[in-house]
Amino acid sequence: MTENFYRLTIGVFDTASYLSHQDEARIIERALRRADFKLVFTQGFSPRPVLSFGPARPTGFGSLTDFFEIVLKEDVTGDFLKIKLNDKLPAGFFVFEAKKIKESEFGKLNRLIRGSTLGIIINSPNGLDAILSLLNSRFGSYGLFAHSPESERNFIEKTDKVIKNGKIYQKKRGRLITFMPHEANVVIPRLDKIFLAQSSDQNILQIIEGIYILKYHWNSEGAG
Amino acid sequence: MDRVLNYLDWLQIKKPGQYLGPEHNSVIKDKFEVSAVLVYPDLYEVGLPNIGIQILYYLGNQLDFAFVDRAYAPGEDLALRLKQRKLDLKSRVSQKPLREFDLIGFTLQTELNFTNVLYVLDLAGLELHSEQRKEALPLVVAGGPAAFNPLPLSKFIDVFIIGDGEEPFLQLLRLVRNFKRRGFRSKKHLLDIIDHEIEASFIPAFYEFEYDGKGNFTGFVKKEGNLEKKRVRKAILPDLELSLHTKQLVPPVRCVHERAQLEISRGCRGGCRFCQAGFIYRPVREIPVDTAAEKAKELLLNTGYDELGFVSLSTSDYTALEELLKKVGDFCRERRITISLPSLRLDSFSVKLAGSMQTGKKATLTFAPEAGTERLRKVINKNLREEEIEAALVAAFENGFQKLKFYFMIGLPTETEEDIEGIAALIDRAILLAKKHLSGNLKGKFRLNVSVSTFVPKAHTPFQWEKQIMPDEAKRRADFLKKIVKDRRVRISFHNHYQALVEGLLSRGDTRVAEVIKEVFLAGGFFDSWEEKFNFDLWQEKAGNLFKLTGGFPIDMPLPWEVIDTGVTREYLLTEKEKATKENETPKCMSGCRKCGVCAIVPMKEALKK
Repeated sequence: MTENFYRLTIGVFDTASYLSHQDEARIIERALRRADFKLVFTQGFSPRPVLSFGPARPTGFGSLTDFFEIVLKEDVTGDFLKIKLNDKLPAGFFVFEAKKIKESEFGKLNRLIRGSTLGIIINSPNGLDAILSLLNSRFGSYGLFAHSPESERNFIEKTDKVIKNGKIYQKKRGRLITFMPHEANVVIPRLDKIFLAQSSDQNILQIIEGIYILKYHWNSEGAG
Repeated sequence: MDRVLNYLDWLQIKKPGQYLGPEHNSVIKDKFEVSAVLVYPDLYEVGLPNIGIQILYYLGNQLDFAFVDRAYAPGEDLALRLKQRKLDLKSRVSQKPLREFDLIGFTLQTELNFTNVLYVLDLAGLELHSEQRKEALPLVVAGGPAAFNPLPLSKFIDVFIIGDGEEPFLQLLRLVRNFKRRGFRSKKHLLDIIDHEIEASFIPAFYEFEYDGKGNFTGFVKKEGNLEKKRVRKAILPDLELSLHTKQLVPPVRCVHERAQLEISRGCRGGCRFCQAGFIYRPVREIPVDTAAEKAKELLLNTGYDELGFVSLSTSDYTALEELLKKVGDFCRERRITISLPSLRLDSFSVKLAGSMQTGKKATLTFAPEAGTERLRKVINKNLREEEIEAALVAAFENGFQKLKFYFMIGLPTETEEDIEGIAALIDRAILLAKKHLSGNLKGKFRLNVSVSTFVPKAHTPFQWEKQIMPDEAKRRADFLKKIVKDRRVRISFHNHYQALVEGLLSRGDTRVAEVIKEVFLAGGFFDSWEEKFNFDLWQEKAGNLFKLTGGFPIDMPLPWEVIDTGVTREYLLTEKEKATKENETPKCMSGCRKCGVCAIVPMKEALKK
């Protein structure tokens, strides 16, 4: 029997970001079952579907690019898989891409990814420069806060796509600030922990509506 | 301080996804005339799987004029933040404050959740006492098995719904809609309508409960409302198919059970004398096997669960269990879906059936002999012979079940040391049979989990007059059992003896217990069903000599919960009590009617009397 390997790029938005990476894996498995795809299972006493994850998204973080890899006993196109899954996933989850990969590529994501860029959504449309300088002066020792119009456009584009597909109820209109950690080789910087450790800054931090993983940085051998 | 919980607040809450994460198959509406929120007064992970709530949630939302949402008791971390910010508890789906709903309906699955009812009312910003909530809406309603003795919560709940909730709940939604349409306002008026229109409604405000000088309950008087209706007859759903649906909720976070649940039967043919469910859910009703099989598949495809559970008080008694399993077997096997068969009878036929149904992960087999000796099993009418248990164990081991779970009770009426030794003897027998009948590579993996609880006499059972053993006596018996069970493959665990006593107080309590519940709650006692949160000292301090209510009742006095009529007659319960002392069995009701009284209300279908 031939096995077919797929890599899914999944967006996690809104309240779905409060779920853990493990919760997300279970939700994807159930969506696959609801779509009645023929899954490949592990052997042994407790057969589980064969799944492989990219880096674990911290609970509370949204993402434009969570990776999951799955194996099917049937040969379907990536687009078919994507459409069927999007139909069965609950609100807040959206498959941006499903592509067939080679067996040799399966299960290696964590070795290929070395870092990420985070995005912070703030609910204040004005005074971007003031907020940026405030964030950099308070938390600048951890990394650089910056505004990238390109990242913001990309984020809005992707969110609009998810809204159009009915997978988010509400549209949030804020600004996006990117964060790059100074330290190399931090796969996902725990901005939430940094923020929460500074309780005296609670008032500034109220403007934060969410932290998103915008993109992963790949090792030279990895393809994006 | 900001009056909402913002992003970083939620990140500091344990498992925020339980409050906010998207659920599959939940319903949201923006146009409706009447709204209800169904509350499970425990954490989301415990409450979400509850099938009763799921049925009412689905059925209520089928009405186009109604919107039904759900709510759960929040963890203490969230509760604290809500209090600090003066925020109200919100419903799960529409995130609306509970008090903006027309109906707030609690399900009472266990008495140990009673303090949590107050916890939720308080977090919703409502007065605890029914009489202090002057407005008609929101109306606070409660139902479920623990509502069969409504007196302990009678001061806090406006309306109890007794029995199968499907039809009364839908009727309630209609009555409240009409009430609102006509622009009525008075709470008294609404209660009056409900008392007249819904037979299974119990409205505490319309009753007076009386006590003599020595503090004994002497009876009740109906003073207002529908004066023709004195006792409240439970509702019986005549046809179980009316409650069947396949849009079960799928939680985004881990819950205590995560499986598709198909209720194949309601009511039990047995008559275990300790078992409240066995008496209050009568008569037996079943889903026809073809429907059950078809709906099971639909349910699995709608939810994506990897486990199918049949809900029933006694799965083995389902008239076509083998056929049902055959019909869903291939479907489940292909998809590695585990079929779990709870409440299996301890006989070799059932065990072989379970063995043939290994479609997913390897299940643990659970047996409930309840008592250690045949004599005591006759007393409680759990009619299992030594040979039957033995044959079942052999079948279990031959079918490769290397993990077993046993359920026993201590403190059953007439129990002696011999009966406790009987538990140990049964355990020894299981170990011996495992050695003999488990195949080579499984022998080493043999494990036996033994769970022992203290018997709590429940209302509406033949043991409702019995004395409950006190915690120190329960502990003495438990220690004795622990001493004689030594095998390292056996893990024996005991339910908390003090929780059992409080459960007993709340199960057979009267209106005076209401004050105790309130005082315990106000002193910080809630989440009593969680052993680590349960605070017995608080209960002891507040209940004082009311614990005497666990000491039993004379048969010639009225009982507080007799305001509720389950259909089973007092005479029948007394006969059963009498038979217990004589160690006489009562066979299952399919082999002939036992005249308990229920079928005089809704007769059991002929097809089920095989």
